[in-house]
Amino acid sequence: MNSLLEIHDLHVHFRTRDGVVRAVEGAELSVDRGRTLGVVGESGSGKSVTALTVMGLTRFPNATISGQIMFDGTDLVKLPDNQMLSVRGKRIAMIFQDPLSSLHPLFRIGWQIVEAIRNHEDVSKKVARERTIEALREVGIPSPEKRVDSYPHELSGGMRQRAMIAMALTLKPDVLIADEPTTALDVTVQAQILDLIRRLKDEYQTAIVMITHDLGVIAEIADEVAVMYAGRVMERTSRQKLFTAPELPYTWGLMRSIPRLDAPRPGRLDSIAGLPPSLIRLPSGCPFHPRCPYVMDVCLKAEPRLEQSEPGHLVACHLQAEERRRIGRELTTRRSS
Amino acid sequence: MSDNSYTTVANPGLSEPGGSNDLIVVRGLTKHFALTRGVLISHQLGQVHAVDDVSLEVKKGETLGLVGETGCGKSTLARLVTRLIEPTGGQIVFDGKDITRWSRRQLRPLRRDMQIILQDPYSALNPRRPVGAIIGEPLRIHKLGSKAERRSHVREVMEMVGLNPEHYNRYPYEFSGGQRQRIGVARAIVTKPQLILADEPVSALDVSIQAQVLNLLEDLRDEMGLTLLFIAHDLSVVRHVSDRIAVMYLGKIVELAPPETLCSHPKHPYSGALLSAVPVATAEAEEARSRRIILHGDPPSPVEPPSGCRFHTRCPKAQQICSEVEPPLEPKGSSEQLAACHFPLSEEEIERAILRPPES
Repeated sequence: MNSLLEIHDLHVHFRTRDGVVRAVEGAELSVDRGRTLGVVGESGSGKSVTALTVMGLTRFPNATISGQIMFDGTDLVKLPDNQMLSVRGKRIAMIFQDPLSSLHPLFRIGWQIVEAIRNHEDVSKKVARERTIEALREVGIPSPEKRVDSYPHELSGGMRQRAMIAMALTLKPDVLIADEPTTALDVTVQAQILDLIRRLKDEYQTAIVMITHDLGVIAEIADEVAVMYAGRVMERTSRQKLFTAPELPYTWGLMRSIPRLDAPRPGRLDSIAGLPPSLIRLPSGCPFHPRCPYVMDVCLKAEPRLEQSEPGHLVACHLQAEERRRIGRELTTRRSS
Repeated sequence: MSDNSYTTVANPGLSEPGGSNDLIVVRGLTKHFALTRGVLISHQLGQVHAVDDVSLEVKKGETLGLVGETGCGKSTLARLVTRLIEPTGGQIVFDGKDITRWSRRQLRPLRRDMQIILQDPYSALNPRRPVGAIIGEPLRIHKLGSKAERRSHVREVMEMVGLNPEHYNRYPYEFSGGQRQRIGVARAIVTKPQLILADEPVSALDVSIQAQVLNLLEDLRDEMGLTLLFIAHDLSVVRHVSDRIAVMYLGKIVELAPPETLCSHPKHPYSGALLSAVPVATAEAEEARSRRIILHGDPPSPVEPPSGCRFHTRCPKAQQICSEVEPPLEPKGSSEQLAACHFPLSEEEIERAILRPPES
C-alpha cells in the first residue's frame, strides 16, 4: 500500500566555498490523504530543506539531489522543471513561517490569490475573484468582500497567515506543507490557525506536512511524527507513541528541555549539552553522539540505521530496544505525574 | 572575582542603607504615542494607548514576568521603567529615587544599574566589533577600571556565561545563536547591574539552546542577586523563571499573581484564555484542546481602546457593566493575586477550560 507522498533515501547536498553541506541525508517520510505528518527538529536539522525539495525549490546549480520523492506515482526528483510547475502550488502547496515576506507588499491580497488561480486554471478574472472571496471567507477573514482589496500591511499577522492558507487551499491541493506556520504568531492566534488547518484537512482530506520545532504543536495536530536531526530522520512513530514511549535519546532531550505549564516547576531545566553539529563536518558514527548522555563505543564508529523497534515505530539508535523503552516510559510517566 | 579597584565602584547603590525592599515602584504609568500624518505640516490623528495607568512594585531580587500578546504594551512598559522612552504620565521610583523627570545626563550613571538583553542576538551585536569589545563597551562608557582591568574583567564575565575567554577577539558571526545570546547576557551583567530587562531573551533560540540560556539566567540571578524584568510571549517560559507574573492586555495589567497561582487558578478570563491556548506536549493534548477557550478575532486597536474593561469585546463572560465600568486591579481570592475583572473565573470554569497542573 503506497502513501500519497513517499520520500525514500533522500539526499540533498549543497556545494559551498567551505565544503559540502549535507543538509538532508537519507530522509524517509510518508504521508497520506487526510493525515498529518509532524516533522520536528531544530534549525539545521534538514526539515525545511526536505520540504523545499519536495516543492522542487532546491534545484540550485550547486545542489545535488538524489533519492526518491514519490507523489501519486510520479518521482518528483526526476520530474523536469516545466512539469514541476503544474504540481507546485496546484497539487502540492506550501505556507511559510513569515506571511509578510511571502506576500508581495505592493499588490492587493486578492490580486495575488487570483493570479495563483489563473496560473493553474483557465477561468475568467471574475470567477477567480469570486473564488478568492469564498476562500477568504472560508479561512475566517471577516468581511472578505472588503479584505480582498487590502494590501498585506493592512492585515494583522494572523490575518495574513489566513490569507496565505486561503491562497494555498483555493486550488484544493492534495498535499499542504506548512513550514512553522504559527511560530511568528501569538498563542491565541496560533490556536485559531491550528484549528483552521485541522478543519480543512478533515473537509478536503488534504495530506498535511507540519514542520515545527514546537512539540506542543505536534501534540495538537500530528497523526504521525518524524524527529529529524542533522539531516536524518531519527525516529518515526505515531503521536501517541511519541508522547508515551519515545525511544530516541534526542527526543528525550527535547522533552526534558521544554518548560511545561502542566507540571510542577523543576529547579533547573535539563538542557541538551553542546550545540547541533556542523553539516559540513559531521561527527563520526551517530551524529548525535557528542551530545548524547547514553553514548557507547559503537556510537562513535557506526551510524545507526532507522530500524523498526515495534510495529509502526522506527528508531535510529544503538541502545538496546528494551533499555530505550524503559527509559522512554520512565521519562513520560515522570512527566505526567 | 579578583579584588581590583573596579569592584568597589561598581555598585554604589546596593550598599546604601535606608532603602525599602522595592527596587522599582511605578504609579499610574502611562505612555501614549502620537499618531501623526504629514511631513512638513503634521497633524495628529490620534493616540496609541500603549501603556495606560499601570501601577506595580518589583522587589529587590525578584523576577517579574510580563506576558501578553503582540502589541499589549509589555515592552513599552519595561522601556518606560528603565526610562528608555519618555512617559506621558505617572511616576517611576528606582531604588528609592524618583527618576521620572531625570534628564539623560542625570540618568547616565544609573544606566550601569539597569541593563537590557534583547530578543534577536543577530541584530543586537555590532557585527564589526570583536566580542571582547562588545562586552566591555558598558565598562568603557562608564569609565570603570583601567584598560587592563576592563580586559581581565571581560574575560571573567565571558567565563561566567560559558564563553571561552580565548574567543575575546572573535567576531559575532563566528558564534551560533545560543552563544550570541550568551554574549548579550555577558554585556548586560558586566557592570554588575541591579536590574536586568530581558525582552524575549530566548524566543529566537532552538529549544535545546533555550533551556541552556534560561538556566544561565537563573544561575546569574541567584549568584548576583539580580532583579529581573522578564518579557516573553511564551507562558511556559515565563512561568518557569518568574516569582510573579503580570498579564497585560491592551496597555493594562489585567492580572498579577505568583506563577503557580496564575497557572492553576487564573481569575481573569483573558489569563484563562491565554493559558488554555498554550499547546501542551503530552498525549492528552487532544483532551486539553476540547476544553480550550478560543478567542475570536484579533485584539482591538489601541488607538481607540474599548470602553470599560478593555477585554469586554472578546470576553466570553462579558455583561453590560463590563462595557461601562472599568474594573480596578484588586485582590481576588488571596492578597497575592490581583485581577481587574467584574466576573472573575470560578473554579468550575477553570476546571473546564484548562488542563490544570498538579499542585506542587
